[in-house]
Amino acid sequence: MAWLETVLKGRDPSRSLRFSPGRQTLAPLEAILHPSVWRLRLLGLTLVAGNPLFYWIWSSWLPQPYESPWLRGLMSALGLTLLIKPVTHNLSNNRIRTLVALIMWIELPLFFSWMYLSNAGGPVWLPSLCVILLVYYHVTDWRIATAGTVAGGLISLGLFYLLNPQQPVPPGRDYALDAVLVAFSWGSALLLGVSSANLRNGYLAHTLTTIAIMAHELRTPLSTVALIGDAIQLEVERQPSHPRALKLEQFGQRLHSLVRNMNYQIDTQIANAKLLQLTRLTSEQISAAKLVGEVTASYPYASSRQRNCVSVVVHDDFTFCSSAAQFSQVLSNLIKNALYSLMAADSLYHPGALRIELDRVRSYGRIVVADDGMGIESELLPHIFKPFFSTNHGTRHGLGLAFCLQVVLSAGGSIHVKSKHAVGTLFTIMLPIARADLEH
Amino acid sequence: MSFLLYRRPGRVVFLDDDRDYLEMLGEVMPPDWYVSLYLRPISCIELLHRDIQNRETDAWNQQKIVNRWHDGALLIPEILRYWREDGTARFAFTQVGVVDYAMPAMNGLRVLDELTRWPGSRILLTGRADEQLAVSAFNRGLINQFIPKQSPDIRMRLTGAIKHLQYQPDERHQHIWRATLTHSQYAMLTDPLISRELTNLARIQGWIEHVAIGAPFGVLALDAQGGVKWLQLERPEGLPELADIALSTGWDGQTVKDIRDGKKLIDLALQIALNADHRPRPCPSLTLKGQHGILHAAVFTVGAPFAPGLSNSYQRFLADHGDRRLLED
Repeated sequence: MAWLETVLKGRDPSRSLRFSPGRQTLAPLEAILHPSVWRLRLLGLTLVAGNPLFYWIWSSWLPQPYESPWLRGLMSALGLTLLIKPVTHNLSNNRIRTLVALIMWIELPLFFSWMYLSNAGGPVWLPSLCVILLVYYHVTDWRIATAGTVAGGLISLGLFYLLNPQQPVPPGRDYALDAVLVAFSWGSALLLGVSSANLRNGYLAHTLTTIAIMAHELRTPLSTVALIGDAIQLEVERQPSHPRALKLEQFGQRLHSLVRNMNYQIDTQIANAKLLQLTRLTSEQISAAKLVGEVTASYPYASSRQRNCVSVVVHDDFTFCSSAAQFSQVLSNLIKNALYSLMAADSLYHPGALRIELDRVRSYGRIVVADDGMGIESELLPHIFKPFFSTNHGTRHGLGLAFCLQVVLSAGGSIHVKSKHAVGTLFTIMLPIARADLEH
Repeated sequence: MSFLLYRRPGRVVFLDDDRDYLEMLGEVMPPDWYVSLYLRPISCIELLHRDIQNRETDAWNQQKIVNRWHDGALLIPEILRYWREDGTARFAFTQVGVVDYAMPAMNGLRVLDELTRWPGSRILLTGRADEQLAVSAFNRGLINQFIPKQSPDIRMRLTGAIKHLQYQPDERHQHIWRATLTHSQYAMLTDPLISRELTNLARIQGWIEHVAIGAPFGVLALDAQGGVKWLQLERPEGLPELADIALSTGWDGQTVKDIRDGKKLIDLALQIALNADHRPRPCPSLTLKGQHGILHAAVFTVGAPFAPGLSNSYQRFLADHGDRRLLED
């Protein structure tokens, strides 16, 4: 990971901004529901062991009209890929995720449709196909499952007529009955898939609402604290000759400063908790350099050392379309994460420990936020953009990066992360440059 | 900001379900405001409903002054009598209501929905409402302003907003007293430069209540201690006549010249109105330059026998009613 160290130490800024998709963690597409190493291994193991087992059952013990050792072998081999480490430990990689989704599509709707057609349905393959549809909807997102089922059915039908395995069709076979059962099973699977997706969204929405309400509930007591600060300062104004007047004035100022910081944190939590309700209608023209300047200037740093460790380098400013308020929150979240990471690494906050760089890459604008902090362990990288995933659940709720992802996607952009544990982290945001800026 | 034809102080009501917050608001609001703190929406609504009726009665009393003037009575003694007879009751009318949004019994917008007939100004103060909620309430005419509780320097924002609303014209009063002014007098009073000068003068003089009238042309004003001032306003074309009257009442040549030059005015109209038995007195005047003309202005003190006095003053009213404790549980 020499590239990372070079980037993070800032020896060669031009290299630090080099885009290398193969090594990047793309914000994950949920092609596999609840992806985890053990869930994937279990699926792989079932496929590797299940295919030879059922080959023996349907060819020797309870023989069916059609079985193929080659096909079963191919299915087992595909299942084997789900057990190998480059796959199970690289679920962050978009290509790997696509590969796993493809394997599941081949193994489930395509293979089972093929077997059903080749065996002319029957008491074994009709229920098997129905069950496998349900399983498929629990493995992947219901939209992918629907598309995969349609594609798998059509392709296997095409292959069946093309290759014609020459299996005899039982006389008087009633395919209408099969069609009704498959349709019923498919409909049930779809219903369950959609409901469980809605349920997940419902839980997420309720949790986010709870966070937002809790944050709001703190407003009034905080505002009361601010007024107490005012009352102290007013008393000082009434009695300026009091021997403790200066100290009281300072206490009042500290109260105000504390309230400002806490309100900032509450604003952040509320904004992040609204990640499911982001408006897509806002399309302000935003100058990246201006926005970064404003956010870095107004961020409530814990100390002047923290403030001084932030360096902003504008190689080339650009204008993009998004909501300025939401994008300010994105930058604020990334700065907060970086400062947290620096704190975890016991950083001395040397100047440039947190770097924000702006430039253009063809028709895209690029914002890079890099820090020399603790970094993120590679196995955690696939999950960092998910709501409620945090590298430290004791102190953080894990909504910040999920919010960042939603806002960046709604602006038509993408967000990527590179990181190495104990070295640092680098977030890259790519945003389409506004048409007016491009024409200019 | 245009100079108001009629202005007086009024109550500022705060409604919030948080006792601590209300008490601290009471602590930090300016001491010269009459502030009432309400925890329960129902009590607050009842107060403001009573306020509607009281304001109606008061406006009718003011209208009767103007009606009597139409019938030949003099405005200045009528207004002075109104102040004396009213005592301090009018200071208790509510000018601004500051209502919290999130309350357990009913939210702030529902409270304001119940008060559509109440003519005062409304501020929605909240930690929950978002921009859309505020815009929607504003568009429905439910609020004049929206202030989030998390606003930096909430006290300054709140006092600034309330002060601004306190200077908003009450349409009913404006309409009543506009009837005493000629078109050209009204044009002079609403001239932006003159208006600003008069507003500043009222602030510097410490007037807490005033009424601008056309016959005679000027402003009758009340200070916090119950003293009354008469701000006489003269247009340049009226100065020669005033100088001639000064000459005829025995004032020396220099005084007459000063009046003719607009450097001094005599309180002739005030003396006539009060039926005084001494000759009009001269007083140095200010020149108020407007966009379309100038006005000469001089401040005269109205004698104590005609003024409401300390016992009917705003200062006494605050001393009697200035306690900002929460009186309900």
